Amino acid sequence: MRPLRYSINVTLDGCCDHRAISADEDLHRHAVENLEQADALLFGRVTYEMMEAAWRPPSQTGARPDWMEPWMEPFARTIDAAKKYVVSSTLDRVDWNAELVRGDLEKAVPAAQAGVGQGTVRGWREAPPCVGGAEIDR
Amino acid sequence: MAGVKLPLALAELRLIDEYEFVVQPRLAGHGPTLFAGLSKHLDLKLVSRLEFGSGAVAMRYEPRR
Repeated sequence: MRPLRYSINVTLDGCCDHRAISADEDLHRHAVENLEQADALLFGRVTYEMMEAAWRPPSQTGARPDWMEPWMEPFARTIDAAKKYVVSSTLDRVDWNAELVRGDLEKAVPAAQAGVGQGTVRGWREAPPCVGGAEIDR
Repeated sequence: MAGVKLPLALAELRLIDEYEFVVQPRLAGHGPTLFAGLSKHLDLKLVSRLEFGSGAVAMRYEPRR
């Protein structure tokens, strides 16, 4: 089974609210390296929706949002292209290169890990512009 | 705010093979804190450590089996 790797930004006093964290260019680069090692990303609904809102390119224009610095683009491209699994019992569908994971996590997560073939699922909780989540890794 | 439920559930089920904490040189003064509500403590073994110019430190751990 591919390993499940979890990654989170946290303050020294243990706060994991992404609004308490500012990710600079180095942290973005580190996050991209993590994402590139992963064959799929695993999100809860809240994080998935936040990521999609921040990083999914606008379907019509493909233009970069005003807040996005040029050095954020590799992260944006990498997360956009990544295969995603979303744990949710309330969403009906997900369509950002994503599949829903439902039911018993103890069975569903290993099934998702097996489904990625050669890779790893990484648990990701990476938020704009900070980083966090789970990954299924190579 | 990013979700905190899924990581707690995954940790409870011992499904996470590696934990990476990217610790930021900041005191927030508030929560939420990670893994609040974990029912039983989980011991980890440090496997790597990477320092950034900002003072952030990324530490990777594996569960002790």
